[in-house]
Amino acid sequence: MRPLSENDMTDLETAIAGRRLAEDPGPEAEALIVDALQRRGLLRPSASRHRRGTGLALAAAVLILAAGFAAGEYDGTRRHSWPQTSQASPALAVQRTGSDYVAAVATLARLPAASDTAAQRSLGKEVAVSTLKAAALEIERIAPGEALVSEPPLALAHESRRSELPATSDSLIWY
Amino acid sequence: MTDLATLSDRELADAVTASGAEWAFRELYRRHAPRMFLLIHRLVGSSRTDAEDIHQDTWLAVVKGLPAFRWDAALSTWLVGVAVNQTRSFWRRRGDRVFLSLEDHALSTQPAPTLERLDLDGAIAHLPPGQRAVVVLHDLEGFTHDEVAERLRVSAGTSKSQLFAARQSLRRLLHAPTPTTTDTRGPTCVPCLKTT
Repeated sequence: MRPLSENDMTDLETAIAGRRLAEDPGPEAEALIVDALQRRGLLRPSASRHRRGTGLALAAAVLILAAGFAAGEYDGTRRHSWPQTSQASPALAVQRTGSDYVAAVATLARLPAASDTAAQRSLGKEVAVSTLKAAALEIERIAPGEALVSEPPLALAHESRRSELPATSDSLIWY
Repeated sequence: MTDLATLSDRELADAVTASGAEWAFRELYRRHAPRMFLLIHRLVGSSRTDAEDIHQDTWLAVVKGLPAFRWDAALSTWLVGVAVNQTRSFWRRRGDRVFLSLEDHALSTQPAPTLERLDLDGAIAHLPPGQRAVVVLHDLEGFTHDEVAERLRVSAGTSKSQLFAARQSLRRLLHAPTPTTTDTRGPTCVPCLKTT
């Protein structure tokens, strides 16, 4: 079959040969489709958005940890006495008792994992977790929706510290 | 950092199916959406709104169907099939009878459009849906009659007759003289124009 020259083509063939190959569906289309897929659970949010959220949560967790460690270290160097609660400075009372709490949990965590201390560790962990939950409930009461009360920062703090803590048979959530 | 352009369609599709990776979907979308949207727009005719709706439904169906795709054909070929299916569903929902007998949809019963001489898409939009689908898939997308028939769920004979009618209609719409003798050059799809 001989090749077609330009002159052999009808208008139809010429039109087909010069046809468009693509059409932009518009910038909104992609966003709408991605949104629809996410709403149906078929796509996870973008890495950048996810990373931003995780970064904020990690930053919050690091702050909590830093405060916890600082308080723990400080408390480890002194013999504490329970603070006198003053109606004029409830924030100070919270800070001091919080530091005591962190120090007590740190002491608990340093108990050797021997069988004779197992019962103490177990009871201490139960008390520590209950106290933490009670504190979280109180914070939720005074600051509804407070992000730090929700689980992710605590979970992230736990995860980020897991590798740094000495290996123990029990896990500890730092606050 | 991985350059997305170096990833194959399959690698991107695997990332979408395995973990719902948005970045992978967006890359697939940017690669294939312009061609898919044009195809859908041509199939439905002049309504861009309808084309947008079908286009969205098509991508939803694509992501749902990706895990079942066996990769025995190019992704782009499969995407065309999904787009055609969604367009057929649209016609069904609208109650369109797409493949009428050729006498039922003579162009003379429709208002004559005002077209530029080589306004192919304008002319295609003016065709009845069945003719439009066949000419788009056969002449513009390069599928064989058997492949067109499979995608449109019609016989290959219907595909051929609709294509014959579609080409005559298009020649008329494009103001070109309709050939009076049998066209011996075969289908006017672009691959044929390039290779013959």
